[in-house]
Amino acid sequence: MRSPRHAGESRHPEPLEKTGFRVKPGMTEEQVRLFLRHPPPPVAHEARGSEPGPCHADSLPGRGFPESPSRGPGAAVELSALQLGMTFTENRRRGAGSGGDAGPLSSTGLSAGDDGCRTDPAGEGFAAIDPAMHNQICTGCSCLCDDISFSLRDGLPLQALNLCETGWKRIEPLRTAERTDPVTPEKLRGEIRLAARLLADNGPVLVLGADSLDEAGIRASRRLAKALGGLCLPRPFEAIRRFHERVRRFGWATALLDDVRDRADLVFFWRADPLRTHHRHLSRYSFFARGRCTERGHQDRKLAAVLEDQGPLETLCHHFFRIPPERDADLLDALANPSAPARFEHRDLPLLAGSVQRAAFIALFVDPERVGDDTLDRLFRWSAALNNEGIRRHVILPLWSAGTNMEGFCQVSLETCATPCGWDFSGQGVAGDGGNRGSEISLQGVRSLLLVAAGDRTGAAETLPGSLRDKPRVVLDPFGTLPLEQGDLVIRAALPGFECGGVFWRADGLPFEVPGLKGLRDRGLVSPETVLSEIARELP
Amino acid sequence: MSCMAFAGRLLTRDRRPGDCPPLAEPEQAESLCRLRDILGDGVKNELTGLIVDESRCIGCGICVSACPVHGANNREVSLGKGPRPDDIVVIRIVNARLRLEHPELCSRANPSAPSCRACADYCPTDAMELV
Repeated sequence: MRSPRHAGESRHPEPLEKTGFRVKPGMTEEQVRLFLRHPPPPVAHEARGSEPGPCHADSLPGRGFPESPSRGPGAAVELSALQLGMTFTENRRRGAGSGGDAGPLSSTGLSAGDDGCRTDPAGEGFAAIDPAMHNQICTGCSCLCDDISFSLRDGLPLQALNLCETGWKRIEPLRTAERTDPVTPEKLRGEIRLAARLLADNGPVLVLGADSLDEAGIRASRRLAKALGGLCLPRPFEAIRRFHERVRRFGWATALLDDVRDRADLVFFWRADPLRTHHRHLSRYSFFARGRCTERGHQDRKLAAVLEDQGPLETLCHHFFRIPPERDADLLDALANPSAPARFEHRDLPLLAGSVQRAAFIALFVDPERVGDDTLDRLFRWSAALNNEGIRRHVILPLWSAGTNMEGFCQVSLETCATPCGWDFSGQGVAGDGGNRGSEISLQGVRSLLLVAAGDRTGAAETLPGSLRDKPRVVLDPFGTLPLEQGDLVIRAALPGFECGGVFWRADGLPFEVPGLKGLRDRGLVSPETVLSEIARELP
Repeated sequence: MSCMAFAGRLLTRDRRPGDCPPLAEPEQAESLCRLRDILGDGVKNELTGLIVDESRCIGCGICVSACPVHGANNREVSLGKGPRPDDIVVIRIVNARLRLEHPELCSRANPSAPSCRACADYCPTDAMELV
């Protein structure tokens, strides 16, 4: 049953007693700066409205909120007179600037002194700093956060706003002057020829890990596998196969992340921990963000999680189940049949059952790599049963921990061969071992490998399945972090989504056109798509 | 400053463990590490009483979203996005770490307002503490 507070689109400011703050019109930005002793505004920054892609969710009709008006210099900044009066008095008494440890942010990352002039404590000089803030979409994970802003110095990222630790680690190689070993066109041409000869001489190739590339890279991987009569698979291909098998069998109710933000009042994480894999998921979409029917954000939602280990997510959950995977079936039975005698006892179970009964929209995020076949069956069955009741809506969204463009790989694969698991041009069949959750790929007939590194030591010999470790391999490394001895041949490439643009799919299947980061230093690296296409061209 | 006085300052977060010169010696490295685990490594902001331990911050942005000041005054943040570069906000994420920008806007800076603990209460990694 919906709470009356869910209805309507009126947005009332929080009353004074809740926030100590009341929104009031009338104060201009200049007046605020006078009171708070702000520095002058940054020189320029790109308008947020110039975000790329006709595919953007907020540009679709009927979705999301209308664009807010741009904030020009005369825009009113609303603060209470009490707050300003107190602050002004405090500042005068202390004789300090803004009164805090951190000075006001300037787009160049320099601090501002009391006199409002920009200081340069590190003595790094002004000339090489690009004062503009560049908006960018982060491709560190499948959240595809589109509110990131970068400032650059000498073509290197200096400062990133709204970027989480995952995204920061992804761009870490870009921040160093010595990004990678020097790559000249002649050296690259030689490496490509070597790679083509190595793969052609050794027989059917397995192209593994294209799920971390953009759409063009995925398609180039497919063409290369086809040219060599091999296979092109994502890393968790077994988990993808199992998930989509259930989709075909039970049907799949899903939703966009924007719909989850707008409507979900019970959010489930089943063996998926967003604070480990998608750091901003909770704040951007699933729990803290405010939506049409969830105007108070986390206060209008319940959060539940089922994990094997304790973690930071437990502190946020209303219902937390720390149980081994073998107990998933019992828990799901208890939730699906609350009136039946339960074989599962847990202190949070009655509360969770109550939350399920009261919820109008349940969003369940699952990591298919970490659940078994039986659990997947029960999850889909439970979802179908709840949706068929017609009282509440239950959607399932996969939250892959591997591959930033997993959804993109599935989409391209579905488009070309009607299955999401990749391509097999070898004619020998993929002998997946369905009993152990896809942790081992047993492939008969693969004689060589082309691995796409994902920046976390993937491509290293010890992370490969046992049957593939001794095969000759070419490693395509967009991060420039793997040592050269990791493969028979390591080819450096540009980092998709930053050094070169491409199309990426968000976790809910929405495509985003991600341009390269403007102003980034050109290291002479070519895109992975170009490298793969050139290897295919050099094949005998 | 005597050791006892320094210990008092540590508890009120007016000093960091690394501020003690004897603790910087190699043979005290384990003690320094233990103190950092217990107390964190942040210094208290006088206006709000907020202590930030950057080493624990993962840049999740929950503090920015949960802040009621942002929710009432910043449309982007209330919808889940991060603040724009020129937005005047209490806290924001810079280089994957929390940065306190305008503590004077925090409701805790107003002594007559009810004290708010939203940012620290919802921080999943205990990177923020309020004293």
